[in-house]
Amino acid sequence: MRALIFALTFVVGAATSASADDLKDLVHRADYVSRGKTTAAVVHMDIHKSSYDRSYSIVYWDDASGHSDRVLVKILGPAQWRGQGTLKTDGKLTVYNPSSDRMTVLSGSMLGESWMGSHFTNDDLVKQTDMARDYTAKELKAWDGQTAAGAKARYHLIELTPAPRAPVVWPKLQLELYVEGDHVIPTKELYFFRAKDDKPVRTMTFSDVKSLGGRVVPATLTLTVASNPDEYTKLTYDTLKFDTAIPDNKFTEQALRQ
Amino acid sequence: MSSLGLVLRIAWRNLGRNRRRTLITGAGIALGAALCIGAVGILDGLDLQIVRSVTDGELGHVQVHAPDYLRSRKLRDAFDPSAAMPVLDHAGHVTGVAPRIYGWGFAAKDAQSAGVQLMGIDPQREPAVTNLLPAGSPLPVAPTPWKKAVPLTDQQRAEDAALTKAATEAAIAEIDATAPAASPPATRDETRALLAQVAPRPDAPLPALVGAGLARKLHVQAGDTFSVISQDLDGAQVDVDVRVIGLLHTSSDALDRTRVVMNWRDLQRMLGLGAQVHEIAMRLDQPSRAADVVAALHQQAALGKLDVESWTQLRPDAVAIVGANDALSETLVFLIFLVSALGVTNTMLMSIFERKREFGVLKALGMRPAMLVAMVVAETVLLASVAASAGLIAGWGLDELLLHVGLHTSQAAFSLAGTSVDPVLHAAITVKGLLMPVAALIGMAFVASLYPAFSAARVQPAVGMRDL
Repeated sequence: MRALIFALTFVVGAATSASADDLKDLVHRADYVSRGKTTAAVVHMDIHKSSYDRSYSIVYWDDASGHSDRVLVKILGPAQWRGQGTLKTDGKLTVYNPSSDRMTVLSGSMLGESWMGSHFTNDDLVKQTDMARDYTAKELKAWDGQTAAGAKARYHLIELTPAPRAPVVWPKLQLELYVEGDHVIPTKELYFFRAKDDKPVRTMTFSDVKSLGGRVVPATLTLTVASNPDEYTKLTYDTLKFDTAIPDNKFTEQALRQ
Repeated sequence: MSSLGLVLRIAWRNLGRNRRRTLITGAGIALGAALCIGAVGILDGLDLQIVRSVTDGELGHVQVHAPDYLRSRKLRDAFDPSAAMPVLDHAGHVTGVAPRIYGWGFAAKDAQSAGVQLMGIDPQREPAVTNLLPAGSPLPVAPTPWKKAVPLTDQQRAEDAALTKAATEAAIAEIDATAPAASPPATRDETRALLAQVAPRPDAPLPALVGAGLARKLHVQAGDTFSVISQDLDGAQVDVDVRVIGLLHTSSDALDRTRVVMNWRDLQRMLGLGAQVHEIAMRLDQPSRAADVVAALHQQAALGKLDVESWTQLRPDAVAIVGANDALSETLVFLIFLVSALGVTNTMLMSIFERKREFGVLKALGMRPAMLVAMVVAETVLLASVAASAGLIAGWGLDELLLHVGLHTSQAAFSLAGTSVDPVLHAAITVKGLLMPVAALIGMAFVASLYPAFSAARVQPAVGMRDL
């Protein structure tokens, strides 16, 4: 009897473990949980570092519908940063500083620098790797668990390794997500500095799952880094809107300066 | 008369019996010694130049950093030098003390841009430590006028929060497509006013010396301005105008392409460091005292946990090059003497073959073999000593010539271990460089004489005399 239960569990387990295509789909849906063809958002960013604490209000415009991703990020406040912004068009990164009223085109060497003193880098903000396209997924484990709200969900831990010749920054990622009904919600992304590393150098945690812009999304993203475990940068969506037409003049230097 | 005196007298007289042979052998030894001294002098000179190039260009002889700064190179790993400076200024053998600041930034001029290393130095103190600042450098001693930042009052903070709220609501309205994009002009003016209070900009572009390669890349020359973007200690983006007041030509191409040197007070202000610095470099009266000075400074309570390191600890690569040079010069000395030794052995063997009868007679007269050995050894060592002394004088002369005229090796300066080496090598005259070849040569002559000497001692009196 016991053996039969064991065998049944095994068969059921095998049946529910995802196939390669399903896995790719899960990765894609988790990756795009808060991104549409276009995305407009107002977020606030809280930075906690050993040397300072700071919060920004930010407006974010992203148009991924064209052949190259276009992004405009502007800080709405407080005063010391209000009006500073970053524009990505045609893979080119332009930053604007209202106090000097100057546009500067950043070179690749600045991509790894911290964005506005946060734990995010310039690269995080504007260069969005497509996890399903640029990485090959392998399921490490799957288990049944509960969501934060107490609902039953199927969890997956997926390891992502770069597809050949994919222009990626991280040589290894791990993505933890759950499937609850129709929703695929990421819970954790682990970033590894080297493919052979066991410990991630930084961790993004997704929480506060709620309905925003007509979708169910994790409204809070918390990024922590292994080198300073007490520090974090937290990003919270106040408003999210997907798939509306964003006018082209939103992604221009004029809009950045405005 | 002692037997040693007798041996020496006989040996000396023997040397005079075949003057031509003695002169030729002696001249060979003297020439070897002189050339060797010259070569060692040049190699010692190269050592000295490497050490100077490393320490005088930028490093200094001893450096002080916050713990871990050299590993992390983080902006925040800085320290307040106010307690350490007076101690360092009055430490023994220290002739110059200079504070420094480092930062990273991004320089842009029109369509040109480059990552840059920002270096802040004290224009008054730096020349006492290194020649990093070109002579007659126009880098101003006084910092650029820059208004003090004043924190917002509670009321201003509330106004600012209201501005942020209004901007956020406007953005949300725009996203919801209920309102077009708008940034009320009033918000911009109010923000500008608040910004001028919390983060004032310098009254004028910050003067800076710019690496020659960087200036070429940005298409700027003296008098031009360009912008530098960096992040201050609080992670805030800083954006300043920099005015080129001169070009830097350092010993390293990499530095020439990336370096911007500014007044340390300007850079402290720009990076929000307050009174902190990243490095204190010191010059000593003798580079060789660095280890002693470091040991003495480690006892100083005023330095607390600061890292104090000598140039040999900071630049082990340069020390390794100097070590390799020393090994090369010792090998050279050894080779030259190996050749001399073969020559000496050959000459002495010939001389002994010619003088077989003499040895036979001496033995027949009752001279013991040990005395014969001593005699031949004494002849060789005497010859070598006299010749090497002559070589010492000639070598010294050669050294003086190489010191003052120099040896022209190539058209342009070349780089060794990341340090620039002058194309004209100058000898360095040291006691070791002069005496090591002489001592080695005499020692070699002694060893080289043993085989001929024992051959002479083995001559049978009857055989020796019968040969004639």
